[in-house]
Amino acid sequence: MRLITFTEFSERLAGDSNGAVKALLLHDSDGEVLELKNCEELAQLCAALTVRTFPPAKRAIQQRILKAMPEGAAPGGSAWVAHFVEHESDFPFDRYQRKASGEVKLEPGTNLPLMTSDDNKMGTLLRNPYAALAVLDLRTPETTNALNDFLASRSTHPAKLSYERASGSFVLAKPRVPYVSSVTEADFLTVQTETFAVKNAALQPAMLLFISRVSFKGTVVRLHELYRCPELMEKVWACWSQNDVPQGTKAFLQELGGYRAQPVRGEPQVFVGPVPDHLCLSVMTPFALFKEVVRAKEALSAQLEAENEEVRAALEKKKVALTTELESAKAKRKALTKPSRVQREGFKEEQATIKSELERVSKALKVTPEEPSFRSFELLYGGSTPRNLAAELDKSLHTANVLLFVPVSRQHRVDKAEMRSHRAASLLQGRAYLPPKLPSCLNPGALDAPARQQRTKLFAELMAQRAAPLLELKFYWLTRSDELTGEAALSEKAATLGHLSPELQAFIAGAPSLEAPQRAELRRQLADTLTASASAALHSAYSDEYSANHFDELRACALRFVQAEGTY
Amino acid sequence: MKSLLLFRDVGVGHAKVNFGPFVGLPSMTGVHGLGGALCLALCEELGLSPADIRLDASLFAYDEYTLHEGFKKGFKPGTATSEALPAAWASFNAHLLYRIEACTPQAASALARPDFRRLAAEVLSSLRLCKGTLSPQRQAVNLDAPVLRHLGSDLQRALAMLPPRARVVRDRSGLIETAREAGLPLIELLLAATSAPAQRPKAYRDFFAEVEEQVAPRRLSLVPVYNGHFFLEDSPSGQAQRLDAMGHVLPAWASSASYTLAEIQSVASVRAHFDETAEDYDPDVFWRSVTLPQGVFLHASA
Repeated sequence: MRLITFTEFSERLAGDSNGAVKALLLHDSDGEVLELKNCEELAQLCAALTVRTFPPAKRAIQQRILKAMPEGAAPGGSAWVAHFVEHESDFPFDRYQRKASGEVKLEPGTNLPLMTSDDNKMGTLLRNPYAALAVLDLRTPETTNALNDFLASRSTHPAKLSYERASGSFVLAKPRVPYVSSVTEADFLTVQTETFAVKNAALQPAMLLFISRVSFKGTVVRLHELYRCPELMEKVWACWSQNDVPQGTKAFLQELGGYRAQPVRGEPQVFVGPVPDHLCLSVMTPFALFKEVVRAKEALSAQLEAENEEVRAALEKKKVALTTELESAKAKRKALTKPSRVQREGFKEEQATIKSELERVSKALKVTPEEPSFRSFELLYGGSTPRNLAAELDKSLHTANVLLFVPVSRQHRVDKAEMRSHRAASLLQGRAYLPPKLPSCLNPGALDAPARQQRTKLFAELMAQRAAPLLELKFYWLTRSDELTGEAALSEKAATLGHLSPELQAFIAGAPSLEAPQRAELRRQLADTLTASASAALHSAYSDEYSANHFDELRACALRFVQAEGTY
Repeated sequence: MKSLLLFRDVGVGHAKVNFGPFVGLPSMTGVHGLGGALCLALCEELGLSPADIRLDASLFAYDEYTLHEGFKKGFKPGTATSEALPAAWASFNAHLLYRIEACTPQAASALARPDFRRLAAEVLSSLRLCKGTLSPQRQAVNLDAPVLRHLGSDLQRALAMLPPRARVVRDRSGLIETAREAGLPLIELLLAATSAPAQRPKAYRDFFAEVEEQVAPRRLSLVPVYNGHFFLEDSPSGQAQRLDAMGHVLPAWASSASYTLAEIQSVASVRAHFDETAEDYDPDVFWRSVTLPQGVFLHASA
């Protein structure tokens, strides 16, 4: 983050106002933050930005120029009027009419260019923003096509403004964050709200104020958060009053800055900690993180980083030690003029050991340590209506957390067809979750009670995984048979379970007509199938180490599973 | 006499799920409180006095989960438009299992009424869960059905009637007690529970490795769940104050959101590890009102 001073900024503004404002407001220049030292600077900035970004402001100023210009005479008055006349060849409004009364009027149908292309002119205006502000009529709504063009001209930047014709409001949408993993902590802390709406189109350009980042007394905030600080704003208004800015403008900007914003009805307004009296900047949206959680995240990250650093330092130290050891071994080897064969072998072996160790250490050094990241997810703003999808409005939830089980097929931007085929494939392959290394309880020698217990758990889990499709079907049948009776139940049974083998049918729907020994036989058959399947899964997972250890227990577990889960 | 009351496939629409920093599941106090409200409403419906049917414990499972922001009103001129989302909502299929106790003979006979299960579902449909609407698809499950008779205990029968892929939310507030005794900072613990093992600092890595060892080979997935708001002091003292954005004086944290840890496990896995010999079969699948307040306070330090 590079801090630029207000003097630097105003120079830039006067020189190349388009570039400077755009860069600051839309974050074009990476990591540049305007630093404000005192309230006077803030007041000047507010005034300048209002003049700079306000179409009504420009029109008012320009009309005043036209009105002030007598026929054939050089206009006098303030500096900025003179400046316009000097550049008459570039003068944007050459299509005006003069009435007999001397009144100057634009030709009907002329669109006012709302951004003057001449930076010098705007620069001159901005040198005295207070004077420009004094003549503004900010409360007159502005809804011309030219305004739309002006807004569209900004959409080269990924931040888009879209116009809602029905309500006459504008919505500023920030670009979709491409991957959730690329969202950094900084995003959560500084960009809290991505979508704004204002009811009056006239306010829209000034909404650009809302995304500018400034540093005030060492705290980086968006400008409108400064607007919300009552004491601070009082000082700003005082500065303006000293410079003859009218009362109406101030009232308007108060409204604009959300100074009077009320909390949303029925929802808790979340504050980050106790708000200090002098700096009331931490008003946050209900989705902002709690201070405690932010702190906890920082603590965790710092701890992990310190640990990684420690490990790294130890490795570096070891590397240095090994290098010197290798050097000394080489020197020792050189010192001997005529080593015997045994000695040579010994040296070779020693050097090889050191080298392999060195290689291992430098390999470990190359691995980049895990960076701490915390779960978050994004949510489509306002539901997935076609309009919202088209407008790409969305909202990342600024949560610490957590949602693990949104079915992937329901997530946004997931190719459903691919999802389905993937799921079918994984079902067919029947991959089971097993610990990555062979658990010690599966070793042939592990015969004590805790190992046996753990084995039982492992096998039970494996059975539940292997028999998952069967359980699904059983559940389906249970719910169906609960509702059906008589003939309907029989035909349903034939339709649903007819194609299955008798032991599966008995597992799912029971076999009341059979005798107990026959049922036991069916159970045994199913248990055999399950045992084979689970054993195959174990073999494929631990092909090297596992060879049918504890097979009896596996089989007993399968039998128990069939007995417990089946409908006999 | 304690008996189980199982509602399967209760459609929950628009239940509120953001109570603080951890978004995802509805409030567990809400789930348990729904059971309490159900008991009260049933008593009223059956003409009993309010304490006749008592809620003992509740089990919560869900599937078909969707998180959404809910509908948003159009922008109208003249109305204030909120700057942020008002809330996050979730819709899901809930499977609610309540263990209720009939405290009087009248209540016991009422529970044995043939139309009791239908009545219970009707009463349930008039209640709400965390602002969400409840739409039971059918009457409460008949746990004495012939297909279930081969199963020994009531809980086993109830679990058999749950869809195998549904997720059971198990009470793991015991872990918080353990961590508190071990001196681990608790909010960090909640955060570390959701991150990958390699991303946890060593103290937390060891703590969770130990816990995972206990449940191995099951994959352990822990999530922080909202647990209710609790008072931090008997009454707001009036001494500790803070200012809001408007300069209004507010009491500093008189109450705090509380979070606890829950484990999420599939029904099939719960059934596979079912231990009939355990005294109070598999105690932490149930949430109880005595264990609910044991959580992490977000603002306890203030």
